[in-house]
Amino acid sequence: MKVLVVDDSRTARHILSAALRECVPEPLEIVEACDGREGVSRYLESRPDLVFMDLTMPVMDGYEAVSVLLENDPDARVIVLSADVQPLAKSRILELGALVFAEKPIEVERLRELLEEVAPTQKLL
Amino acid sequence: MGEFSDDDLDALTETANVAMGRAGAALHEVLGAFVKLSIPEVFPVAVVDVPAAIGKLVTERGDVSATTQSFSGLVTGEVVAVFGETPWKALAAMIGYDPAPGEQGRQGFLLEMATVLTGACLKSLATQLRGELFPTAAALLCQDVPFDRFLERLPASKTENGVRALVLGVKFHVHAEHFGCDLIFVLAERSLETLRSTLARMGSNR
Repeated sequence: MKVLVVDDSRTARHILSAALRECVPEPLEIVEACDGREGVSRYLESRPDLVFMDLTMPVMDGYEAVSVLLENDPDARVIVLSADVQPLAKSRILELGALVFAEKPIEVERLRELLEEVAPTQKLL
Repeated sequence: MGEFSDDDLDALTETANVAMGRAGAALHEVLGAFVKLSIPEVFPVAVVDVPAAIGKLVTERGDVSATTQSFSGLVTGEVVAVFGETPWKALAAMIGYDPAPGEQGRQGFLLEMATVLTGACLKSLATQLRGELFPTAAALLCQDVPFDRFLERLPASKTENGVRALVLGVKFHVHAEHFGCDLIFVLAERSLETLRSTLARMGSNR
């Protein structure tokens, strides 16, 4: 499985990558990007099975990145992980086409649940 | 004091990001409007440079009002909340806040907003750092003063160079209501080693 992690925080990328290694069976390839624009670019290069996207980022935020990703690939599978937990942030990003919205910081158990949520139809696990 | 590495500062920025997110959600709950958050800025400075560092973080350059609040516990510091020319009566009506007339009402409103933001931030910071943080009551630092006078009101340290502090800043903005607030945390030097070792412990547990 190939996963793209888009977050401007190295710490957040590190936490999520470590959690993914606990939850996802090998082979697992993790590609990282530090803002929305780089995320879109990495997505188009590597065509991952799943994207984890932050919302508040420099250069291009998560809202725009999700829109651009889905314009380019309507089948892109995006889980949003954000510290911005306002209901409107969640509804906006889900309207844009993200599969799931989850709050930071993510714990391993919550990540496992998220992957199970998207797995039955998305064949990720 | 050990120096903060880039990784320490990145970890702290992410910790602040989560805390500011909770504060934004608390403000949203109070105002019922979407709150746009900025990316937190976190950097160490010499204590004597703290007022200048705060000045650089504040967006507003016209008249400002500001509150200040201390906190203690796992780490110790001060929070400064800086507001521009707030349409406070409309905002007070939105939240059902019944203000006293005149200046007293405006002051009460600013203190209320600062308390909501700071309280939510500190609660999240404490949870993430697995400790406790206890805020004092917010107090008015200045009201509707030119930016330069606000800077003069910030407590200046007479400490010699070499003593350091850590500054964390984020901006909250409610577009529809033209309401903005800069929330700036200053952590005292005596807390920095605790913070650094806590971050290191959190990192090793990840």
